[in-house]
Amino acid sequence: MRIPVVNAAPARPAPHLYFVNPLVDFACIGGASVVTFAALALVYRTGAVQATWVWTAAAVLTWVCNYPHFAATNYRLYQSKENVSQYPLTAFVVPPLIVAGMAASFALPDLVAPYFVKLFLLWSGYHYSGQSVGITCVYARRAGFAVGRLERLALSGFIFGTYLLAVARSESGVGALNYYGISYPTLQLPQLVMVMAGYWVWMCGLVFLLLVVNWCVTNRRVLPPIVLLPAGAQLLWFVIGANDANFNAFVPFFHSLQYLLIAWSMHLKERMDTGGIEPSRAFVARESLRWGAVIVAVGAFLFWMLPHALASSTGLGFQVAAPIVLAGVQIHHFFVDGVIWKLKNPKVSSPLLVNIGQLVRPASAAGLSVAPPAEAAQPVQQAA
Amino acid sequence: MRKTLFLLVAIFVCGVDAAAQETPAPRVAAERIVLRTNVGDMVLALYPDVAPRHTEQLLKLARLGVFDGVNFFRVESTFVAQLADARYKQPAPSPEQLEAIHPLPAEFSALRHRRGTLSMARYDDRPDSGETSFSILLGDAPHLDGKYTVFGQLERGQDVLDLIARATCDERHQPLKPVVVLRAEVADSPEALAGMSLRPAGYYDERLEWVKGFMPWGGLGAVLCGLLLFVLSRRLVPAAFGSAGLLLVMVAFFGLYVAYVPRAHTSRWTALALFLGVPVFFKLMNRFEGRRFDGSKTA
Repeated sequence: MRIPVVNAAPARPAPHLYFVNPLVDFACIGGASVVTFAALALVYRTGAVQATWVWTAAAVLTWVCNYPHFAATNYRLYQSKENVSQYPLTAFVVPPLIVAGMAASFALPDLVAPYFVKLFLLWSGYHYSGQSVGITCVYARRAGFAVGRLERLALSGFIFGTYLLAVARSESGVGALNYYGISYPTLQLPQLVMVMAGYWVWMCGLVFLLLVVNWCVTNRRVLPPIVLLPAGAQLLWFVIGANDANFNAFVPFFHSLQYLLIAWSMHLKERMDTGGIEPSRAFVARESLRWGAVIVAVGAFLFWMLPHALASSTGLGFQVAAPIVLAGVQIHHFFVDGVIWKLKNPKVSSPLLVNIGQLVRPASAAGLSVAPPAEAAQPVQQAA
Repeated sequence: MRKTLFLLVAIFVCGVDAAAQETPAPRVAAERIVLRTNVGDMVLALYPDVAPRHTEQLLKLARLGVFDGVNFFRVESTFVAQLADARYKQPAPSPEQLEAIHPLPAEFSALRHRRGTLSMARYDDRPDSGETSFSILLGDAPHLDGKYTVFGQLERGQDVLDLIARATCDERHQPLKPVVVLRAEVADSPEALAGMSLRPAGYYDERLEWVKGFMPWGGLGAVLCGLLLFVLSRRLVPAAFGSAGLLLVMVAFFGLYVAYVPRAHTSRWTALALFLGVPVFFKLMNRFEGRRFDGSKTA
């Protein structure tokens, strides 16, 4: 007979609420998008037409943030033999499949390419939403806010509802939409779908807020605002700022910023743990630079060299090749992200509670435990 | 007395107007031109008594394949959908086709420009300059009456015309997604027309025709096979088959999506099914190579 006995976990300090500090975390997780939206709304009242400088600024940020964020995913998967062997289909079967889709798009640019691009664009919004839910859960866990089944349902309903509303808006239009020169057809949905999606968003949002209030009252604590920030940013990206052409240009940057903050923290923590490296400022600086250089280089390869090479080899021109390659690389990113960021995996969730302060100085000096917190401790089974 | 006179004049004017509106429909030629476009098929009936030269010439041009590959270069949703000049189509017309094209003398009549009317295009200052470019009226246009040759009427394919009218266009009224006459055919008799299968409104591509033969059941079958593999993984088949099943679902779903988006434009239920199917598909893909983290794979 086997009787599960849960070892009493030693008293450990609660995990730090922030990855870096309140300022950096707020800025990266959604604060920057709120400030940008407000500033743009003040300067350009309607945002119906994109200002010329916005395109340039968004392009620069794409190079320093968006492309590296895609590269960071690939780096995270392919740099570790363990990851590759754990996810062989993602690592070796999905890429050829996507290449086949890209080849079909190149062969039939007016037939397959529009749908290939459309698949990527639809998946992209879903992917953003998944990340928002995930980050909310991470901060909720750091804050000690229990995300139960009902809370998760309401939160997911709200966040994915904003995605559905955004899709319903774009799919309700008649005719075709355009992605870097490739036009793709809409579904021409009835307007009613958009209205219903809107009601759904607000209903789920309200339920989630009520649950939060209930938690605050029960625990006699105010929920740290950063827990709600990802959901608020999502609402801004997909609903409130959706019609602002200036703001829209920056949304991929804000999404990438969220990602990079967490991927960077994770990378440092894992590197330190696997290499048995002592916390030090020098290590963090050196490894951050190395990691940054790698992902910028891989990003440049994936999004600049690859489209140019394919454009010249297929003779289709950069205008056609670029959106197809961009779509292919990003679809692969969605696959990889889907497997390497499973929060139920302790190997993922545990380092996600790291604080950079723990990595730049010894645990005793930091006053924070590097070890996983109490709730991450696994039950130990003993034979009777 | 003045009131009575005014009333009589009003009745007379209304009577004349009504008489004009009730002009008997002109005789229609036995032949029909069937425009097979990438958004569905339209049947054009021609008026040999009203515009004999136009009727004869357009039938000849259609038989020669002059209209094949010509696009609707101008779409104004409440005015006209106008075919481009066939001289400049790509690929270029053959020498035989070019030889057959010549200017047509105007055949103006009392027929009005209404929705569905076929009206020959011409240069503003040259009434006899009509050649191959003509319009299908998308709304009433009385300002064209008596100034442009009305030579026929859209007989079947109102839904196709509606779809063309809804096309998204640029500032020059050119559809962003080209609306092209894939083939213009001539049905020499009503019997011949009855033997033709006409496609309803929707976005078509001939390169997809081979797919359509097996798409609904083949695609759904592949999705179900993939789902079955996914469900049975860890029970009857090795875990990796579950994720392979999801990849099969993805490929089949993509094929179904490509095949059914055009149909969504005419069926709200199809549009709704595709709209809701996409997040369900993405949700399913979240299980791709998932693990339960107790050491065993879920898929």
